[in-house]
Amino acid sequence: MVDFDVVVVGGGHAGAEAAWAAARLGAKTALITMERDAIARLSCNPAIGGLGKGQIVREIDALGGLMGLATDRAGIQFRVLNRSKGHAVQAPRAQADRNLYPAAVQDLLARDPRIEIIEGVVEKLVTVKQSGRGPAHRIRGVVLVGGLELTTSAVILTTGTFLRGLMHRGSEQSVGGRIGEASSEGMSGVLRSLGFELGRLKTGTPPRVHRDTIDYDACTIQPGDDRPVPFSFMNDEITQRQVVCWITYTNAAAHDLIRANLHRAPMYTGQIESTGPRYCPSIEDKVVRFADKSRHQVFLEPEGYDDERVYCNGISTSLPRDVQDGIVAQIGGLERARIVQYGYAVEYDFVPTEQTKPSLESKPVGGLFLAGQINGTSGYEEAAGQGLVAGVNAVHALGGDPPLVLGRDEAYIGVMIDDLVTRPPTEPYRMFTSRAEYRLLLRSDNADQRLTPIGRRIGLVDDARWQRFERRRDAIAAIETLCARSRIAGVAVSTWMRRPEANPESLAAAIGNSVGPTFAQQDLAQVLINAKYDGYVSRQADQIERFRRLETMPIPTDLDFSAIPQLRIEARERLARVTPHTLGQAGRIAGVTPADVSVLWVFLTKRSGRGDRTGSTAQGCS
Amino acid sequence: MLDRIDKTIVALSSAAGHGPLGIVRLSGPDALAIVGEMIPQARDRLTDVAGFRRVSTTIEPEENLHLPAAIFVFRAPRSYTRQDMVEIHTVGSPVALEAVRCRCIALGALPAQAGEFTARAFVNGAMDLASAEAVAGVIRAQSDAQLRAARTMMDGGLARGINDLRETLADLVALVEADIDFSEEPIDFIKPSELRAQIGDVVGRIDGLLAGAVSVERFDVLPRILLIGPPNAGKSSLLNRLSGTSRAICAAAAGTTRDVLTAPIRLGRGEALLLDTAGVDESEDEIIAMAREMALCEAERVDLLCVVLDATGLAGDGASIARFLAVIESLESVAAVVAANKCDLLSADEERRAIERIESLLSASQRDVHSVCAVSALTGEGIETLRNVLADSLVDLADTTGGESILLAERQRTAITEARDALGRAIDLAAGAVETIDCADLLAFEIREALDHLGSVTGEVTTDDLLARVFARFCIGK
Repeated sequence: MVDFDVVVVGGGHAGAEAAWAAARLGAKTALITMERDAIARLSCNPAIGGLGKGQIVREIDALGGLMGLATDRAGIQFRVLNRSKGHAVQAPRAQADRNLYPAAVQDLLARDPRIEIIEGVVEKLVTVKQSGRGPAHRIRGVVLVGGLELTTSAVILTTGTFLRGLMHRGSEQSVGGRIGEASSEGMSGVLRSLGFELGRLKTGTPPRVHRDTIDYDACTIQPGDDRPVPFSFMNDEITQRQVVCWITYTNAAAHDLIRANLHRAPMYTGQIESTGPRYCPSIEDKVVRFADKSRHQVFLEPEGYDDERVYCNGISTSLPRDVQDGIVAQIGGLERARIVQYGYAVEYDFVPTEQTKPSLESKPVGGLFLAGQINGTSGYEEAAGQGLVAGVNAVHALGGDPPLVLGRDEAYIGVMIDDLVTRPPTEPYRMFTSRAEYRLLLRSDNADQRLTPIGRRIGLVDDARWQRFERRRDAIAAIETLCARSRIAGVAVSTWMRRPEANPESLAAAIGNSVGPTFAQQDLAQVLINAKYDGYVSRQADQIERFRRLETMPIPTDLDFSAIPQLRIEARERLARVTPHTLGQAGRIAGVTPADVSVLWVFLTKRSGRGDRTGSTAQGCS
Repeated sequence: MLDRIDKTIVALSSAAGHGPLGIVRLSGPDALAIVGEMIPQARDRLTDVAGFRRVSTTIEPEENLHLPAAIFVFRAPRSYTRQDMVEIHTVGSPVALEAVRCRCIALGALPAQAGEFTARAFVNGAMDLASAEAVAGVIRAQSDAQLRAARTMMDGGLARGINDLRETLADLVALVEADIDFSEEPIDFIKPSELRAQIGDVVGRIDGLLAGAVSVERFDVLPRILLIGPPNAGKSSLLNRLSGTSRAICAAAAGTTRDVLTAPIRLGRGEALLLDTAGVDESEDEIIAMAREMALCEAERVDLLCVVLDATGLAGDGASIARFLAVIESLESVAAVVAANKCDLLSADEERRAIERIESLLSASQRDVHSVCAVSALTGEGIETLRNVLADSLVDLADTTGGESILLAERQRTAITEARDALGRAIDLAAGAVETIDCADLLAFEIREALDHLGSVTGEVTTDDLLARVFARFCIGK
């Protein structure tokens, strides 16, 4: 028997980030994974970031997490997306080397002596029953296959697609969470026996082809940015060699082949019953649902400098191998391509998030935290963001500290977790910028300004990051002071710099300087962005202020909604199921109306005693 | 309403049963300052009060509209809501009251929502704990009443118009969002020129809608009962009797061409506005012409005609009585009730014969007159019966307990106007863009704001809805 403060089960992106965060906060942490070398493996698309997701990576980095640092080390093609559409919706994306990325994460984890990596499979959760209010059970430890028992008061489950993972390729089915890896069969039963309800989701992946079998002349080149922009606020530049990606298209012949073989597609034979994501449909889905489209785009993305595999982004499929061979052979540039890994769909169990608190602690079992795909999300970045929060909150729970709950106005991570707990997903949840109503505040460029102070306060941000943050913060303040004082062309620089022609160089000149060590390019650029969004930021701040009262009014966990007769029956049921933690969350639950929120507010006020009779009979009551 | 307890709110407060007076009520930190703006000459007398004061003065909510008013000041915490409160008691004309309320809003007050005064009273501790359930019930009931009122108001083109606009905007913003969130897809979601044209089209439709909705906004949502009848039949006396006062107030109603005597009256659980067609100098011809005009003109909507006849005059040839009964026959679209007044001057037998006479005159027509009542404005005889008959005849008499449902109209107008303003800014942001809009994020913000404002009229559109629109129409996903 070995004792740990925090035990993380699963070594994916949620697990790695959770272990890192917990250890940073001083916890003696175990990371249990089936295979040490598989930690932080990129099991699907070898890319990090993208719209909505890139913002999450910046936030993880600003808080002191792993993902941005690892991506900057392992990225082989960096691009900032939406450069032409406004800073609030711009996001970094990078192709990552499939081998270098996990290596970078494993290297960072290895540097923290508080993290012990244990190879194995968790078979049982050790819990004790509790009576009275609060969760029915409390976690006490985990038992691994083979009998090793770890005692702990905080467990973070990050099982990814491994909970009763079932892979499909045509009629061929195999048990496992990823190609060549086992599944975790017992944990679903363990969770059920503790009172959890489980749901089932589906996701898929496309075939990979051998890089030497592609006719690149038949494809369109897609280069990265000339000047790669790092993900991490710790890095000024990306120096490693960059590679290019390629674009080709499917065609009518390929579509005909798919149509002719639909009877062999698990999605259409009924072999797969669970829900896949609408934003990431399989090629057979696309051909069926958008029959009028004569072609679909395929990105050919190298999986690494030395990796033979090229990821065919856009033709995710669970059709049988021979059909996959046929489809690929129809595609321009891939006529002679050899598939080195066939596409497949995978079904897996998840825990619908009515059962999860905003801290990511589960409701039925105290001390048991859930992060990543087990919460119904999709994507490395979404998983990592939850992992970080779960890691922090596991440690906070041990010390009796209040959980870290980021607001919808503070971070995409906050938007995501709030979405999960108020509107439990029915398809794998992916971040989009349009999910963030305060998007203009939550930019990728200002993630450090928003979150690094929070990361510092909770102990995730080390001295080096904090010093860098302070230097940048002070530099921006100094430039802004100069802008307010200086004039150009008869107007204040702070007014002039909102014009389209303002750029870092002209701004430096306008305040009588030039770009250099004192006035760094990125700091000048930041001042310009801040100025551009200033008016909108204050409008969004007004919106936030209007909701502040709701967001800060807590709902006691033991409130009996069924005992409030003025609530509509539907509202009572929804509220009882989701058990919102604040009045703001209650208002976001589907089926709860503003009038219901008002009624709830009256009852909460009554409970908290603010409605006590404190004076004489009111006057003016007509 | 929970998110703005520190703001000042304003509402019309019903003065039913207390004569033709109306009350505009404010609660919140700026209540005194806002009312002070309207009565500069007496401002100090408001602010130097510690507890309670009544100030008689004149207020000027609009230029050249001078209204006699009694201002009641209740300083916090000695008020219903435990906040600073002011009540402006002034003439009961809905137009005058609306002018006062609009002025308060222009000066920074927010239109109160259903139950908001009560809710403030509750949260500030002015109410007994035991009343919490009652408060919650009131909020629910008033929300329901507002919903009913909203539905009634929006039965016509406004509801369809708003819903069409929301559909168009939701589709548009879905395209803008798709263009942002799925920019890696090889899909042209929408061209800037197309976007500008479509937003411009929506702005045009909003303008049309606002123009067409003015009459609805300007007027009270209370049902309107028009009193008609020959001179000296006792219309004004009846108005006074029904509204419980000895004096009718005459006010020039904006949007109408003539003075109308008005008074709110209590009918069962609801209220109605009683309108008297004219002063004593009018001739029969003029009264009939006016009644016809008011009954047929949408802007001066009349829900019920109450024909007031002199029951003692029926002994003669009854020519003028026949004329008025002919009026209601010709105005088929409006329900009617007949009140045979001055029955205190008749014996029981004479009264019965008078009613029979009226009924026989009416029976020649196809028209369904709800009832004929014998009343006496002087003694009050038959008045409660008449009240019940009037209430029964008003199909849409909503429960307006609390008197705040009128605000929905104002909120709708404000919301629609703000939506239009946001769209105007969106067009500016898209100006000149050819291939892409370099501030698509800001543009989406403005369109969403417009959608939110319209959503506050008829319900919200969530991000999930928007994403569903995108996924339904486009092949998304690499």
